Amino acid sequence: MKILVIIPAYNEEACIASTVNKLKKDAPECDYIVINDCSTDNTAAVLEKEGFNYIHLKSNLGIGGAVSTGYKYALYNDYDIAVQLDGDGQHDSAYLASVVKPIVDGEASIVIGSRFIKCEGFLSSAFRRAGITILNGWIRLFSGAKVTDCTSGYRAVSREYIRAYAKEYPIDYPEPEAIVLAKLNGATIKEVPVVMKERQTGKSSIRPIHSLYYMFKVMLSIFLCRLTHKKQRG
Amino acid sequence: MVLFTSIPSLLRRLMVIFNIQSMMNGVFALCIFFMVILLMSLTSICSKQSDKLRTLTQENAILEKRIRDIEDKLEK
Repeated sequence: MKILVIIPAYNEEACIASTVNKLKKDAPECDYIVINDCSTDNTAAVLEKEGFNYIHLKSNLGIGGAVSTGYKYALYNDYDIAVQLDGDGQHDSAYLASVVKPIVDGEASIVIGSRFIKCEGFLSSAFRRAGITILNGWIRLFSGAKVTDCTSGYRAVSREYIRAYAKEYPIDYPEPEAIVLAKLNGATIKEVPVVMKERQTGKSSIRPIHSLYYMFKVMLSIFLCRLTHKKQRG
Repeated sequence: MVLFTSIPSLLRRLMVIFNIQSMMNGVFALCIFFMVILLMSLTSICSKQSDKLRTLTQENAILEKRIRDIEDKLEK
């Protein structure tokens, strides 16, 4: 099976090299593509110097736009499975095999690496965990998807959902809405335990002061997504 | 606005329907209503253009990657 690891990166000059090198060591059979989201630091120079496989976006599209580019690349190059892996070093590529396994075995079409199954490693702040719990409930209410870590960007999707996400992928804070979109399209979603690290360098795109606004915006997006997409049954 | 200026009785009838006492208030309310419609229309246009721009940026970047790969192959 052809597997592509999508690594969105924005201003990750300090850790992108170590992230990609670790991935190459942990999963040599997987291809990868780094999506440089118009970084203003030396991320582009690092990618060129190290000879990594990359795409440069000429304008900043945000995490959703960058990941969507990765899915389009996966579709055009006929990959069977696409895995999202953050370029900031939070996601450990050692868990890649366990994230991909349910799709390879045909047990699921989307697999999410959840921090909250074993509750080990970096679990984010209490405030953010509370927000994630609320969003998990909201997602379950509007799509029926039972997840414990809806904001986890460490996820794998099968060929069918590479096609779906290449066509339509949420742009603002996409992770929770992407779950809803997939579930409404009949996806089988499974979670596997992963351990995440604290971000090594750089800054999160979600700042504390924007957390409440993010919550409200995501909840509204999910509600509108449910209204505008017909749920596939069976 | 041209229509209401040329046929004032039309505006008067509209004010009666909405039970607006003062013609001036009615005119301002109509202006605000039309501005809201215009804003919504412009928002919709902006949103569609943003989508198109995103798609163009993505496709351009993927094409650039393809060209780079082909150039690398040719060099080898």
